[in-house]
Amino acid sequence: MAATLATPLDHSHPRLLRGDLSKRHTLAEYVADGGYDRNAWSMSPSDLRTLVGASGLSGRGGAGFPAAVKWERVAAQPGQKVLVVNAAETEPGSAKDRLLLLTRPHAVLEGARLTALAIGATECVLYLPERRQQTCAAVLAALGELCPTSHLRWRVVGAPAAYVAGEESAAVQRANGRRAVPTYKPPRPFERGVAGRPTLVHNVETLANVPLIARYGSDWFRSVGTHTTPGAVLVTLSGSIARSGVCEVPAGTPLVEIIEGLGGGTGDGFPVQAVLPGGYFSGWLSADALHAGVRYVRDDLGRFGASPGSGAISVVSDGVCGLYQAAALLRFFADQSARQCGMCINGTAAMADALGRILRGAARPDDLSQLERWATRTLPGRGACGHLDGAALAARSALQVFSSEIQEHLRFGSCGRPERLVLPGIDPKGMSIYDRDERRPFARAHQPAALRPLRVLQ
Amino acid sequence: MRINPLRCVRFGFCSEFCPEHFELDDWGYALVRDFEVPVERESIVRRTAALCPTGAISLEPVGNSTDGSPHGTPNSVTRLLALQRRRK
Repeated sequence: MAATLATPLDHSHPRLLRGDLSKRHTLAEYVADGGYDRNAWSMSPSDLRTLVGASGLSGRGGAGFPAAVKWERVAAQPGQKVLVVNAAETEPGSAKDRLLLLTRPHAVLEGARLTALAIGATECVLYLPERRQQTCAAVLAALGELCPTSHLRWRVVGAPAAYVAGEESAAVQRANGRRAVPTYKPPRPFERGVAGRPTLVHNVETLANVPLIARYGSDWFRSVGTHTTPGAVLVTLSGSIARSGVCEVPAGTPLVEIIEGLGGGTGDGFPVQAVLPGGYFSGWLSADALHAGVRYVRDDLGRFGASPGSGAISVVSDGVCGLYQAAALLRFFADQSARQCGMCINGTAAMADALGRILRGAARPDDLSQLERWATRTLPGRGACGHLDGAALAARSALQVFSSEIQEHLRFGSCGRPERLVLPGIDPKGMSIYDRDERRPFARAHQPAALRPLRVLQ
Repeated sequence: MRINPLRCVRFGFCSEFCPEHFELDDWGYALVRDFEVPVERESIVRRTAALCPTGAISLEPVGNSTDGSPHGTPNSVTRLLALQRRRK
């Protein structure tokens, strides 16, 4: 059995979204699929860290920071360490973490156990979205299948439904019994985190990649993706899209291929107007960038001022008012501020108000110039967490991407297109509605195979 | 020089005492243009920091960054943040 399990997966196979995704895989099914490989578990902690370093695995939660660097920093600290599995997934357009936990929780749990081994953690905190009952139930059921071990203690902590609750220092705060809001850094979690111990916080998808790397090696992992971001990434398609859901694609796949090929285009007959490529904090991307062949990887999207973030791709078609989406998004940022930093409370609200007035054609003479000044100069880089930067980027990129719409709205109060919200998780007044329904996120069958043959994109 | 945004509650003493280094934004919160303070200006900035009732201003010697900040990320905000942290 071990011999067949050690065979690297075929490149056209999905890596994370494997098997029947309509139900939870039990421990027996996971082991039959290659889980808990003996060779992987016989590695020493330092070998594991070296292997993950060689694989080039980067965080899939939004920042894209190299996982091995975080590991080394935590492992180098003295004393007992803590691992936090960040499953809050507060990004409204993202469903990938939920899908992994609902269907393949053991991949995440094995990843967490291997990571805990590698960094010397004695406690593993599962930071689960408290309002998503099914997700919590799936994880707890999977946890119940594992034998309790004395060297790793599991603890479940509920993540509230708020945008900033998914930030790593907010997760640490919550695990320490406080309100789930970000803190000022330093100290960063790796210096002083849960119970004052060095803490590693990882996203669910990042951890789910760890067992695969341990099992099949770093060369296998790097065999798809780009040099800077190796491996496959999970993306969630939402908004004006014919087929929404979670897909697994090699990092560096052209974005237009993901939207047209896997999402089936906008679905309403109109071309793409703009895209939020990686969640609400990732910045608006124009259709021109899309058709210029921008690839879904950090360096490429960065050239257009955007980022792959958490993989939540929200598409806005030409059939709806784009500026309306941008204004609702700024209102969302204002509502979801942790209300800790004065410049964030005031800045996000002021930007949302200004763009709201521009949208209604009731702009004050200096609204546009002030909005531009706030978004480019006054606000970036000032909050305790990335929320204010995300809001500033959302405003800054909206001013560029929707510049012609802004002129029409300033003059006529409308661009003639219906003001219908297509961004998920925001209600028309801009207030967020987290998880009104907890439908099982839909995964595309035969994900990477539907794309062009997988290859290393240089 | 760093400003803790959680502590700044717009007393505004910094911009009154040391307008060369501090200004106030539209809402009255301290805004720093250059996070790097030249050695000859260190003492006045230190005195300003001591003046802040909430202790929001801190000065640290410029050294190698050892924090967990994402670097090499392309968007300007992250670059700015990384720069600030490096200058910490």
